[in-house]
Amino acid sequence: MGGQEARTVAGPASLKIVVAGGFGAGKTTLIGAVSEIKPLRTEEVLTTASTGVDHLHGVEAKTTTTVSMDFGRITFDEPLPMVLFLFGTPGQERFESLWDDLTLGALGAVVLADTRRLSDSFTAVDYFESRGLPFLIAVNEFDGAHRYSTTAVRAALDLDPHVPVMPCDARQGQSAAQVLIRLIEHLQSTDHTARTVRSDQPTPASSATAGVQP
Amino acid sequence: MRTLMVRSALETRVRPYGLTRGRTAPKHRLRPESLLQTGAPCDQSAPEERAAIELCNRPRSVAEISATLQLPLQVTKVIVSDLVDRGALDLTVPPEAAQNSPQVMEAVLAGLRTKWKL
Ligand SMILES: Nc1nc2c(ncn2[C@@H]2O[C@H](COP(=O)(O)OP(=O)(O)OP(=O)(O)O)[C@@H](O)[C@H]2O)c(=O)[nH]1
Ligand SMILES: [Mg+2]
Repeated sequence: MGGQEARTVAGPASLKIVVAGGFGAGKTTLIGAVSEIKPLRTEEVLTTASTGVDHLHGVEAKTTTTVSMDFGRITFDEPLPMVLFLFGTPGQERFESLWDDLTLGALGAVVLADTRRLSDSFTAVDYFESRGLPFLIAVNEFDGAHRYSTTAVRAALDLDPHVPVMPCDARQGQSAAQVLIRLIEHLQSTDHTARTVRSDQPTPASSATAGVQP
Repeated sequence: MRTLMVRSALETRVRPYGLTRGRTAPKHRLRPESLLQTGAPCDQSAPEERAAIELCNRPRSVAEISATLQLPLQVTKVIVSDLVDRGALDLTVPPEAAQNSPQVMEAVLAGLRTKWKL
């Protein structure tokens, strides 16, 4: 068994986009609106060093946390066989290892912002900036929430001028699809040298080969 | 009565890792979006393995196998990796044209626009 190569068969390209944002910002709603399947839920058990480590006894107290994340998919036969996955990041907290696993090889990210709690988007914005993953801000226009101009949102989130900000209704498939389209257009216009900053990450080209990393 | 309850509580925690025969790291580097397809027939398999094999009669992602089997991602990766070693699941390779980033972006755009009439 040792050293044996895995058999491979031809399949569709596997692509993914990460959907992040604060608690209740509409991540699952947006994923469900464009996905061809009802959003599925997967879990990851994370081991984290807990606070108050028992140094005296030389043991590190570990706690395990189960976090769940939603995802959906869109399958295309034309113009290429492709499956596009939309992964929602779990919770408020930034679980590094999990976010890294979700983000590695992603085309880009959508940060959903709820204008009633704009600061909830900071975590996601900081994370994607630090990883050099292209993203845009989709302002989910909840009923009755005050409508801010994109300029005001940009200022409040202290965004780089090139980061797109657009309104959306996460419940509407067309609106959600428009967000994805805008993101891809943004990726196309993004300077490719800026993307190579992600040292440990696959190049944009190899992100399409996610199925077969040796 | 009480011991029974304790046992079943323990089992639900430990059982997924029992499925992986104590291994915690998959041999093949799998990502949540890696796609697998049913390979050669495999006679000796656990129920979870059979479920994974059956699910992959069309290409399915590790995440989807995890969600369907209701097993954590990490556990699913170990099981899937093992099935790949045994030839029961095959890793998929994307079409040549999809190795090229600008072409993929164009394809996704075109796909989304057609699907949503945008
Ligand atoms: N009016 C309105 N309600 C929305 C919209 N998007 C989401 N909601 C509602 O807001 C609530 C939260 O949406 P979710 O999609 O669950 O948000 P989430 O970001 O997945 O939440 P967590 O996973 O808990 O962080 C739900 O009750 C949705 O129905 C929207 O665009 N307009
Ligand atoms: Mg959610």
